Amino acid sequence: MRAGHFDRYNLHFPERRRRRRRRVEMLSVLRSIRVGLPRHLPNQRSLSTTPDHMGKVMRTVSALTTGTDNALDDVIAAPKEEPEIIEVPVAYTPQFMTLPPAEDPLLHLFTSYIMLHGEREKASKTTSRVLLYLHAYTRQPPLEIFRQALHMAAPAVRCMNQRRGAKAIVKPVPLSEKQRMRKAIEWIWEVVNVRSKSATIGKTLAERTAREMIKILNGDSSVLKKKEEIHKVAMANRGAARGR
Amino acid sequence: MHIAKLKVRPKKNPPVNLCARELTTMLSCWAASNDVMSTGACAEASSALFQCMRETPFKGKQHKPTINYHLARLRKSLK
Repeated sequence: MRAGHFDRYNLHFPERRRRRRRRVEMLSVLRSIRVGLPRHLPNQRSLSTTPDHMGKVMRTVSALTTGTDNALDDVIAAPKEEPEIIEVPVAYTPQFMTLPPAEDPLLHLFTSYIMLHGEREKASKTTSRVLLYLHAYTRQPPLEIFRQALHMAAPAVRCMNQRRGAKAIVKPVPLSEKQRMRKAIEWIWEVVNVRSKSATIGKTLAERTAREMIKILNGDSSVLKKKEEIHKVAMANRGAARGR
Repeated sequence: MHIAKLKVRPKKNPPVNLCARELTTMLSCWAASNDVMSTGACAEASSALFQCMRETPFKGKQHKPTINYHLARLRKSLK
């Protein structure tokens, strides 16, 4: 819902204004729990929220929605409780539970790339089917294969064309992890969207994508040739890398 | 000498050199071993570059050079 539209319509209704204010307060609390997403795609799943923090947030949220003024007092001025030490005969080491993020960032990136007209559900179905086909062909956990294929296909640098006076020089510039992954997805998607009988086998995009990823892992794909070309150009122009 | 309008075409700010050391290491490794796909000899060098790119913060957008502002301001004192 667009905020501007909401404001203009509901200004005449004070009750709705009050409800909207509470909703905005609630949203600001919920936003505060969102951990700053790292710029890179980490190899290990990172911790998003801890159970204690979530409990505190939900209590604050319920306090705000009931609308009393002193609702936040017990959260702010809560005395710190001493943890009760229970003596057990057997040594007990509680295991830390690390909560993974809701969606793998690499899959999220892939889905965002293939999504059209903002239809994320549709795109995520394709992504799921890709993983399904990968598992069906290899009988292994598909996410690891997906990640490996993209890492193998991703270029490490891009070649920027620069004009130094009248001369046009090529400067190799390193790419961040997100840029690299995106480039790999772009190349794979280009190959996969061509539905000629000679080039690609597979009736659906998902099937063709999975087959292309397996080809990348086996080492015979046009995507790898593209990567090699760019790397060769970068190698040839390695003198310009450190300039200016 | 009277110059009516003292103005230069300022050079663009050069792009920032991120992880320059790791990049040159990797590129020279490629040249030495011809391992452009970074599978064998240059795997370490390329992974060092990737790690550096993960850690290095990007600098914000660079301002345009302000030389023309200063030239316009100081033009009065030149005459």
